[in-house]
Amino acid sequence: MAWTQSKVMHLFESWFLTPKEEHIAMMEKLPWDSKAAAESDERIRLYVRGKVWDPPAILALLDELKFVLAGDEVVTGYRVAAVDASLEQDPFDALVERFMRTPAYPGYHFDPERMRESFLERVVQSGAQGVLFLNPKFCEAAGFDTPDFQKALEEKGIPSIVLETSTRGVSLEQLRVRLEAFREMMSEDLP
Amino acid sequence: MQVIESLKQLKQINIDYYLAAHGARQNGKFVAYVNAFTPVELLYAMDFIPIYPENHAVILGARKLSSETAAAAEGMGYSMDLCSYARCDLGSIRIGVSPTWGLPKPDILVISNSQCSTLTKWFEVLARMYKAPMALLDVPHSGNGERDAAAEEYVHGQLEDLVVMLERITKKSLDTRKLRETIELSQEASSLWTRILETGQAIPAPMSVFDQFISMAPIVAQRGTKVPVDFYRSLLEELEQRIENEVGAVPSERYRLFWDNLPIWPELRRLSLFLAERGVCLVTSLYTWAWARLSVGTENPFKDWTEQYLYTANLHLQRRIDDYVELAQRYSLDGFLYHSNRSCKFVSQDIPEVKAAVTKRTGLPGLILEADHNDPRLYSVEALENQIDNFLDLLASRNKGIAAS
Repeated sequence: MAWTQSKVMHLFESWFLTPKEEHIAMMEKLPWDSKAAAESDERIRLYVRGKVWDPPAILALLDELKFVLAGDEVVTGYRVAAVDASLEQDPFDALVERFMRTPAYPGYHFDPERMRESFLERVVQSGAQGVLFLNPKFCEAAGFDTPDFQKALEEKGIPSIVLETSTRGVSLEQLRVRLEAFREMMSEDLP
Repeated sequence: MQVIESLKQLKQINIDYYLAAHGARQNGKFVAYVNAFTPVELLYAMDFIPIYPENHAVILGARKLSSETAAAAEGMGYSMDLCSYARCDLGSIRIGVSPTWGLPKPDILVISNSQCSTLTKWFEVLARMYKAPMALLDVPHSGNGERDAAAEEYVHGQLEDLVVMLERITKKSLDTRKLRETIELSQEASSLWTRILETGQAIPAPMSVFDQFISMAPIVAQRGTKVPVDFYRSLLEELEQRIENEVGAVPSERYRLFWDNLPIWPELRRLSLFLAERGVCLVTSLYTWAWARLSVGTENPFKDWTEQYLYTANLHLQRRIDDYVELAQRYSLDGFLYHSNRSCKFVSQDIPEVKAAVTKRTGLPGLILEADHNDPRLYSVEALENQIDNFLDLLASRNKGIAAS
């Protein structure tokens, strides 16, 4: 079995929906040693910031267009597994600490300058070649952060793209065109 | 229409306010960017001039500069779906268009999220832009207003932390005597403003909500100083005289309506004349009453601010409905105009439910107008006028039916 973005993110989604004992049992049976079907090194390492994977087909699209997720801070993405609750503490304390250490998403308030800088640090550490802002329409938190964060990336020479999504439906083909153009720009495939 | 003479003082009041803000540092004062539910009396007592980026955006809207400035913000990458106050303010900074010579740079940004969470993100942008510290008063939502001791302790603690931050900037301790003075002035201004709003109960109403929108600037921005006290004393005196002489805000008052949500600032004058021509007076509103409820006591202001932010500012649906039903009776209303404001989801999202509940309890009809508080590209004022005309036809036939029965 080849690992793809879709499959990895489905694992995260299943974490939300499945009783823990059942989930752990299923996870232990997965082929963890299987390598991703990367035919070549042509995959572009992408970092994604957003709320949910919307439209759901976007992950398959990223696979198809040969992007690989270097990291994400999608609310329902990696951040749900980023921090474990300690077994050494009182359970409530451990859950509170996990909550406080879980990577923030735009809806939280932190020191404004530190928010931008820590975002940039995470992107650089991930080794991403570009960043995708997957912003839900009408999400004010994402909308206010994006310009400053994009500017910070630009100053670091890291290209980025903003895709606005909506639960009322977006055209996957339009997303495809934009992501293809972004990929070409990053791989310098322009004529 | 007989003009309210006292309102002519506002031009100079606003000029003086912005001049003082721009000259703050030369006069040994500091500048704080704030929003509505922040303890401005505390700030005045500590030699800060509170500046409201929202007010600045309002002025841009009223002066028909909002399309240009909002578009400039969109050019910076801000989505058109964001609050138009924010887009106007940020765009104004970018292109340097502002009737108030811009806003002076802040020494601190102070905000509470009990009124609005959008402001938090907007102020984060400003904090990064100006490299100024930001203090967020995080106010938990208090359900239906049941007392919550943990939440009170949390908010109270943040107010105490705020004093420490302010003292660090000014390098002076809080002078409690000065705080008492600013609070007493704020109390007096709020009391006068309340009496001004209550004049709307007279038939005909001596002032409309449009006049209230214009004249609320001092209670918003200068609460805690003598300015609103002096201004509202003269305004109240004039209004009481108008009541005695039966001078109405609109000639031949036929319908008395309530305005829900923020105004449509770019259309203030147009809608005011439109409604006046039809004998419609907006006699009371949600927005203007907010400023009557912000004063605190001198004995324990921190406790009062805490309770205010937790239990008054939070917009509880049931309390909102109850308030509107009570206002319908006190103000002899004929109906409600609900502004479904694209830029303010917080206040707008409950409107369908509020309208249904209020109509059920009062029998009074309501009309939902979809518009925006500051971006004229997001609505058609002609369409709004058509809707209002249809609504007035409804009121007319309703009144005929009531008279016949």
